[in-house]
Amino acid sequence: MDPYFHYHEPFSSFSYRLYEERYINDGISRHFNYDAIITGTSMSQNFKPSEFDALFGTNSIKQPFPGAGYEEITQNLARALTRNDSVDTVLWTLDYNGLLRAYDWKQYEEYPAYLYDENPLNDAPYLFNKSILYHGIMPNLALTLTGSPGTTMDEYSSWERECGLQTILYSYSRDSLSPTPDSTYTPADDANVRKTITDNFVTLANQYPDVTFYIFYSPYSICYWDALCLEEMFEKQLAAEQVATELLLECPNVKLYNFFDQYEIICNPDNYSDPCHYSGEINSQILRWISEDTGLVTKSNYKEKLRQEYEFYSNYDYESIYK
Amino acid sequence: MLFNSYIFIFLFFPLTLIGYFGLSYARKYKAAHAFLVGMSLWFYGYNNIYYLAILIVSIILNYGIANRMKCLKAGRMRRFLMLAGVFLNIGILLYFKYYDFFIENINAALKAELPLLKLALPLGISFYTFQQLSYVIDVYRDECESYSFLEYAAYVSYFPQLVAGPIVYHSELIPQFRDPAKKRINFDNLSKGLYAFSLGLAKKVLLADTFSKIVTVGYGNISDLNTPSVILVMVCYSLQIYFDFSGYCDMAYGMAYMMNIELPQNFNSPYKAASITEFWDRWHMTLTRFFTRYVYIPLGGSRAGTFNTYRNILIVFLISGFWHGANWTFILWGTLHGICKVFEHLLKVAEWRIPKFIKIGVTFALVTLAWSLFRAESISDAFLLWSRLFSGEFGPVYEPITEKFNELIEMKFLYRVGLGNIIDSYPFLFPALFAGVSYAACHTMRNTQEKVTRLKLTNLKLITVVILMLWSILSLSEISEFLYFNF
Repeated sequence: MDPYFHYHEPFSSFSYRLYEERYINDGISRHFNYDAIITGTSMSQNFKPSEFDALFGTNSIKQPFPGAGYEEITQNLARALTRNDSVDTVLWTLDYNGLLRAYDWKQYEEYPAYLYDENPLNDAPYLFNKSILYHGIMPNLALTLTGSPGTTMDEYSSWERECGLQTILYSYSRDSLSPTPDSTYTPADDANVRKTITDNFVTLANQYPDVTFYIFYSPYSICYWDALCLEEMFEKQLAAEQVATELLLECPNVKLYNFFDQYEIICNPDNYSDPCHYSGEINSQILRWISEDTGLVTKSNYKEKLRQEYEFYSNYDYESIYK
Repeated sequence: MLFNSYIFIFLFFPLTLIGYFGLSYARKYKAAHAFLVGMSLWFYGYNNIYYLAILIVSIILNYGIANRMKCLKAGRMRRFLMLAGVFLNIGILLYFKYYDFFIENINAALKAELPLLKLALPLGISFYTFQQLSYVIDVYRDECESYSFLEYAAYVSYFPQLVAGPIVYHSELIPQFRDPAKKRINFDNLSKGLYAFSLGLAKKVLLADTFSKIVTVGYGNISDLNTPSVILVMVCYSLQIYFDFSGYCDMAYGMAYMMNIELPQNFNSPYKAASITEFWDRWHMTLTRFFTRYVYIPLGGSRAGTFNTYRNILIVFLISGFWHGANWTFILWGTLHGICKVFEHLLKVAEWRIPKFIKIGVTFALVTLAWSLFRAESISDAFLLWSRLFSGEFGPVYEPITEKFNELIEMKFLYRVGLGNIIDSYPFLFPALFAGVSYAACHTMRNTQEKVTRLKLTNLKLITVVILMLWSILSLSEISEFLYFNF
């Protein structure tokens, strides 16, 4: 049994539980059969590869990394593209709240790097590890022996949570927010955004000119925009967005999407479980939008889109959300 | 490199055994020695190559000084060289281990801003400087044979004892290296050594590292702890350090035994001690032996009257505390032990007619209280912990402690086999049971040296070794849970 597919593809007679993204994603890209990759943070967890394939005519895998920074996702994607030259399509979430973070921002330690490299000599923590025995092998054995089906790619990493304003307010408190002292977009911020986007998106896109990268800014809820305004970070964020957009539009194989004008979705708290996380239905909707090129950002429309974004979110009556 | 690591167990140690015995079998004894030195240097430099440079320079300088001393008759120059050797070793230790501590205190006292070195402490520096100190002094006293540089380097750098002791004297180790009878592989010793190593590995990985989870949560949230939680955390730390050190000593002893080398006993069931004096006869025995020989006796020991005896005891414990770490917590910890020992002498506690189990219990309580100071980041943290101990707040144990404990794969397994209701209803039960059983084991189990000496190889012992090794190795690494709380 190779629960994280480090050495071989899944056996057809076995049922596998797909679980622990940071342990299993690398094996998925090593040994699964695919020509498209859906990746990103928790914003990508509820995508259904079956829906994506139906719309784009692909055979996709899903590789979400909940809570990840850009760099982690990029590194995984780079490994996958190196290993599989038949990949021609990538769907990639660009978490809007990460634009102003450092290029290598991360919030976890102790990644299982021994799974990511090609060195068999450092695999001991994978081969001799009781938690992998317990979390990886035993569930697969149990599923297989009881004849239960394994996790499908659609189910993998997906979640269903209650949505609505009350749920959002569990993790969002307006009272705790105050203006940020460094709310001006400085040259240092500009350099940071350029490095973040170039190192994590542009370089990889340029390296694989035959791959089409569908990248979209994650459409957070109206509460997220409320927080930006309360922290007086709104203009800084939009300045960062403009730089990121301009850099990405320079890549001919990148198709960039922006859904911030989907007001019916964004302004309806019933679509969100917290200020950022949208429900699975929105993931399906995003796929449809992308397949129709709704929200496509081009060199000719991005400034107008930014202007509309500024107009709408700077004038929105945020108090009305909570009445 | 750690003993409890995959690379050590699967690659380093088997390779060392094969190379050492292989070269010895071919009667290339010098090459075997050199190989051993080379492997020890790899072991030491594995995590930080700069540490290796310090060790090598220190070995060369000490050997050079001692060698020069041997050429001289008693006199000023010889004395000067001895003092140079002593200052060299103490100087290295002061620079790397204590410089920042002194500067921080000067800065605090004088409101100055002298820069700190912020050096990472070279692994095992306290051990190998003491060993070399003993060598230089013994050469000065003419209590030492002549050794080749290779023999000396093999003695200082010998990896089983390099980073955590025992503090071995040259006269204990080098004659064993020289003995041709010990150069041949001995399957009896190999089995016994493996048995000791597996016990040590299990103590470290299965017990000490598990206690460490509870202790880390507790010490990270001292102000949130109620009385039962503090008691649990303190007892768990007492057991963590016990099994950590005991495990390390067993592994060192076992590895050396596999190479036909017998290291001195360093650990003799210290929680069986009925007094602090007895505790120090059983805990880190080679350190106690070192301080007695090189500090206590030169100070006059117990020969210069009662007051001076007590003064000498206090000095030894003060130095011992400081040797354990560059923090006021360690100094206070050592002083506390010293005071307890002086009181025991003064009040003749050994003659009190109290049931032994009460004496053992009181000693354990005192040692545990002192350990809580040893573990604390600062004295104020220790006081905060003690204030929480006497807060009189009772109730359930701090939830993150039991949550952390329940993350253990073994606990998850107990959930699976139907004990979930009991675990959830009595969250304190299993951590307390774990601590209780482990504490009982400290009293009922013989120490490893005794076990190894009397060991009769049976199938049961073989199964024990296999299970312990397998369980420990499978526990060396865990899945890191990437908990995402942003929901």
